[in-house]
Amino acid sequence: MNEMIPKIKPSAPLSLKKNVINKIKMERKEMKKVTLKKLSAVAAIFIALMMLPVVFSTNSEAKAAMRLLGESIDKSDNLKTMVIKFLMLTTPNENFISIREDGSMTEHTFTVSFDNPNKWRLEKSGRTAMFDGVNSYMWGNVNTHTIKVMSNEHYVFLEDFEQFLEPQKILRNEQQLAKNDGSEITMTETKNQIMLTVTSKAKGDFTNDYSKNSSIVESDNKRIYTFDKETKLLQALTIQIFYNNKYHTVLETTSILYDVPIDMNKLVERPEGEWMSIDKGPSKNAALTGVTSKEAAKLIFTALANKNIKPVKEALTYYDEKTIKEYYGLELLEIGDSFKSGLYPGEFVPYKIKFANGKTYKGNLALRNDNQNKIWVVDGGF
Amino acid sequence: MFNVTQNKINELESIIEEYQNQLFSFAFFRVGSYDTAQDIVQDVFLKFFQNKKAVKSIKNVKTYLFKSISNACVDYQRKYGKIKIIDIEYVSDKIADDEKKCIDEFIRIEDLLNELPCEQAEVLKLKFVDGLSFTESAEILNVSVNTIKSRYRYGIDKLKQIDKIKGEYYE
Repeated sequence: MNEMIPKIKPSAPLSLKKNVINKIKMERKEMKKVTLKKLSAVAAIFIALMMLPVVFSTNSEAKAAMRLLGESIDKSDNLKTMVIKFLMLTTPNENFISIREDGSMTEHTFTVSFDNPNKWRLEKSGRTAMFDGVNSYMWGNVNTHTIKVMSNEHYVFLEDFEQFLEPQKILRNEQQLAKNDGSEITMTETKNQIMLTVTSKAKGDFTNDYSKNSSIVESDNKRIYTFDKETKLLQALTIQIFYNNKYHTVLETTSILYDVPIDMNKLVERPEGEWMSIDKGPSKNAALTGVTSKEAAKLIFTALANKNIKPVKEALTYYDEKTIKEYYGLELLEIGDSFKSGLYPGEFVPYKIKFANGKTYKGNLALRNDNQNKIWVVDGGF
Repeated sequence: MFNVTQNKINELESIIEEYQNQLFSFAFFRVGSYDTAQDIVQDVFLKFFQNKKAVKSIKNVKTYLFKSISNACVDYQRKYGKIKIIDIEYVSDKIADDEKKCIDEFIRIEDLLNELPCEQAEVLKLKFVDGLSFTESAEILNVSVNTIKSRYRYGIDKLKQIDKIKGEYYE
C-alpha cells in the first residue's frame, strides 16, 4: 500500500519566498525608474493613435529605415560610455548567449567605455565577462566548480551576444540584414520615438531540433528597437522568440544610459589568481583525431570508467580535476548516433551512463573538433 | 503591472507560506531537481502575482497553483525530455543529504511508475505523492473525476500485474 508514498518529501528552500518577494520589489522599483512606462492609459491610447505603421515593402520605405539606422550609427559613434541594464530569460550560471525557457528573467548589466579599443563588462549574478582592452576574461560557477578563463579575443565569451549589446553593432548588423537578409522589417513612429521591428527566422540546421530556441539566433525571433526621435539613440530593446504558438519576451532592457561617469577601475576589476587561456586550444592527440565523434565519446567514457584519463586528457581540457573525478568508475550503458543541431559547430552524442554510486544519467555529450589540432573536445553535456 | 501595495505583497507572502512546500514537492517529483523545481515554483508565484486581475476570478487558489505548476513541469519535460530527470549535480559532494534522499525517492517512484502510460502515472502521483483528492486531481488535469478514477484503477491493476505493488488500494 505504501510503495508509492515517498519516504521523504522535500521542503521548499528558504530562499524561495525571499526570491519571489525580492523580484517583485525590484521590478516595482524599476518600474518607478522607467518613467516612459508610467504613461497613463489615456496617453497610451493617444500614442497608439499617432503610430504610423510602415512596412518596408518599397524602396523609399527601406531607404527611410536605412537613413534612420545610419543617423543612429553616427550618433552612437560619438558616445563615450554606455550602461545597459536588461533582463533575460536564462539562469545566473548559464552562458550569456543561452536562453533557458525554464529560467527566469535574470538581471544583466552591460557597461562599455568607448575607447580604442572599447572596454566592456557584462555581469549577472552567477557570471561575469570583461574585456580590459587587452584580454577578455570570464568567471563564475558552473555546476560544482568555478571557472576562470581568458582569451586575447575581444568578444569570445559573448559569442553572438555582442551584436545585441553594442548599438553600433546592432545597427550595422540590422542595416546589413535589411539589405541582404529575408528579415521582415516594420517601422512605427510616435511623436518622440521611432520603433523598428525586425522579424527573423531561426538560423542553423534543425533537422534535429535539440538546439532550437537555445539562443536568440537559433530561434524564430523578433527584435524591437526603440529610438529617440531627436537624438536618434537607442532607448530600448525587446527581443522575443517564438515557441508554443506565440512570441515570448526573452530579453528586455530596463534602462540604457549614455555618457554617464564610469569607474574605470571597477570596469576592469577581476578576481586574482591563475587564469586558463582558451586560445592555445588542446594539444595533439592521435586517438581523438580522424575518428567520429561517437568513437571519441566512447574513448572518453572508457577512460573515465577505467579511472585513467591519460589517453584522452586533451578532450577534457575545459574540465577541472574535481569534476572529472566525479565520473570515475562510470559504466557506459547506451551510446547513440551523433547529430548536429542549430548553429553548434560540433556534434552531440546521446548517451546513458551509470555512476559508480549506481545512479544513472542520460544526456547529449557536446563534442567539437574545430581547433587547430582537429581533436574532439568535450564542450558540454556532462 | 507591478503597481502594488504592501498589503498585496503581504497577501502573496501568506499564500507562498501556505503552499510553497506542497508545490515545491509537486514540482520536484516531476522534474527531479531541486534547482529546477525552485525555478518553476518561483516563476509560477511571480506570474500569479503579475496576473492579479485574473486572480480575482480564481475560485480555488490551491488547485490553480497546482495546475500552473503542473503545466510548467509539462513544458519543462517537453523541452528537456527525460535528460534532466537525474540532474548532474547529484554527483556533487555539495548536495545535502536530505536532497540526495529525495532524489533517491524520486528515482524509486519514477522506476515504479515507468511502465505505466503517462496519464495513469500522473494520477497515481497526484494521489500518493501529492496527497490530492480525485476532485482536485480532476481540476488540475482538466478531466472529469470519473476519468481520474478509471486512470487510477487501470494504473493500480497494471502495477499489480507486473508485481510492482502489493496489497489493497482503495479509491
